[in-house]
Amino acid sequence: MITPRVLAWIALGGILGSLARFLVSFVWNPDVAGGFPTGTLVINVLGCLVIGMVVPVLAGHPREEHLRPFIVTGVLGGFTTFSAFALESGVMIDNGAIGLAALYIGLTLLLGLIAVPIGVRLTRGLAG
Amino acid sequence: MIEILAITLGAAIGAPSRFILDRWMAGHAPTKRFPWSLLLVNTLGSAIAGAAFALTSGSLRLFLLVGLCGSLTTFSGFGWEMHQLWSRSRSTFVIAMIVMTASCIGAFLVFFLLLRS
Repeated sequence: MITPRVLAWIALGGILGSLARFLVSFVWNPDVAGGFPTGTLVINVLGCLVIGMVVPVLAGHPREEHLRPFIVTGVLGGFTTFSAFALESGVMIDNGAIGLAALYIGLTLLLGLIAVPIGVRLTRGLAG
Repeated sequence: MIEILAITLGAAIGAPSRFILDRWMAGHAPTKRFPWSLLLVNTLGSAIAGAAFALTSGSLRLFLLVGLCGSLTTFSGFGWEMHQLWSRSRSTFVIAMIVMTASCIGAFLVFFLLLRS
């Protein structure tokens, strides 16, 4: 259900996630567009690890119905980004740095998509 | 301070928009088992990023690129849907991964290359 309350939780989470992303990319991303965007890579892989850890936990608490929109759609959705990934890859391709673009795209997909099941297993391990 | 405000405003619009578009797309998806909603928001966000990267600077750039596009698109949601897809259909997993990546980078490049001066 789309309610003003749910949208407000998502907006709040999105703001917190986006500011955290700005902070991390400020520290780790290169000043010049076209350099290797370590910050974005770390952000997206970390976000995938955490979503794998928290979604199974939230599924076990259906009564806390604002938590999933706030944490998953808001904070994690706002923290991670596909547009920066597309921008950085696109600029590398435009610069003719095809090898670097392939490395960045491959690393992001591989590490990000592996991080989700690792997160799920971490939670399972902690739950015993 | 103006940077923080610009990103805050962009994120306050982008994240709820992703949720609304996701719910709308869920009712209009041509097939199940494919992340159509995410393809829509991530491609849209990447296209806007292309235009913003070509045309804007300063606070407007932060508002659009970091705030709006950054929170309209998501990689963690993509990761989660792909994780679920992996156990259902390996072929759809591979297709979705390629289509999502190509669509977003393509959308960025089209708008960036057409609009930059």
